[in-house]
Amino acid sequence: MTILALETSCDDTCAAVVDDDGTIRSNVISSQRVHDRFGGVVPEIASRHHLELVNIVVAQSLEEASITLEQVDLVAVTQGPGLVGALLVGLSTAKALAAARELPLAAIDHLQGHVAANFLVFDRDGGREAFEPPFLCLIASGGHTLLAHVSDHEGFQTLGRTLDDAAGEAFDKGARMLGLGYPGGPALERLAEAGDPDAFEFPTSGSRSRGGRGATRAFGRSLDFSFAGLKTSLLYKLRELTEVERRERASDLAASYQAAIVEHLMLRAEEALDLTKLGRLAVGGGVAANGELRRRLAELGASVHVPPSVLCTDNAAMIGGAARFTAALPYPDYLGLDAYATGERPR
Amino acid sequence: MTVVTLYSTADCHLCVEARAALVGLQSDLGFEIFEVDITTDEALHRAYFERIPVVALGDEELFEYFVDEGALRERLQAIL
Repeated sequence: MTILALETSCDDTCAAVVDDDGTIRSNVISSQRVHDRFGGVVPEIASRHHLELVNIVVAQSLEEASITLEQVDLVAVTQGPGLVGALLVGLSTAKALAAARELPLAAIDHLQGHVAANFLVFDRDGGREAFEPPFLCLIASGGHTLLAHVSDHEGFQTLGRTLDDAAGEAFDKGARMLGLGYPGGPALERLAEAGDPDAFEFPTSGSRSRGGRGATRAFGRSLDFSFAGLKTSLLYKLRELTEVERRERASDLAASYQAAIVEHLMLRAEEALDLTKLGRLAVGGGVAANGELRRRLAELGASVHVPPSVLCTDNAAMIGGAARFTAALPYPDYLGLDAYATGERPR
Repeated sequence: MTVVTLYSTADCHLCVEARAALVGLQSDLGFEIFEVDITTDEALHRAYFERIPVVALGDEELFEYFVDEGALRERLQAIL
């Protein structure tokens, strides 16, 4: 079975062709850099650019997979959560592509897609690799931060989620406060390279204290995340410094702030590993590209799986990966499907 | 009188915001707003399609998507 998958939940226009054994035949991502100058994604502009790009991206994904639309057996698409206007572009396109040939359509939850990125087969270190359940999955991106207990291919149980900002959002907003561009994660990480992660103390809202970084017991054994206090703490620290100090200590601020975000993610992941006794952790979302997080994950006494960056950030291959294990709707039952902005599809 | 052109169309909420920004400055600075619906002209539609609202002063495009009110005020004060 050949799956054509689409993903347009935020500002990346994505299409991929995936086989039912999890092989990725193409994975095309068109990132909309137009948002950079506004310091964040503008939903209306994202929707318009998806409209402009989606047919081109679909055509490229078919071409790279060396197939035509006639060889597609199933169309998969992200139904939510995400920006509704952006999702509707992908959903409408997928419906049209499927309906034209009366193909079935699989409507996929974006977060299940991030989980399913781990089931995809990709080449690494000379071997072909995939990660099978059960495992714990940490998803950290600009729009989502959660810990999922993945016991099978069909779904997951949410163990904890952010109560306010997502981890990637904390990176972006921190970067903006430090006068860096958008997207801020990579810029903040580069600035942090020359800084001292222990120079400034930030609240980590951890459930157990780890020396040096001021972790507090704000959440007990909760596995939920919170980054709003951390962001406010950076704002106050910047206010306390003179302009010269802010400039001279920018690297230390970036390093300490980054360390606090990573520490918070690691504390929750370690706590969840303790509670579930799974001993296996997968990581997804754009924040998985962060070098400090990867360094800390490598020190974790568990089997850690981080897919290639292109499968961690938003992509359509992961949607195709999830479609392998999702009951598809036959034609024409999917024509009335709507997108959803928040929450999760019930299992 | 100086004319500021707003390229827009119906059902565009960014256009509504841009119009409100221009009207807000109009009483202070006394320029004329000339609004053009891009769907009435194929060439305009092709040129501005996904970029509206576009604000122009003569042949010069000043802003797309959003109006920077401070920058527009400075620009107009310099020529009015």
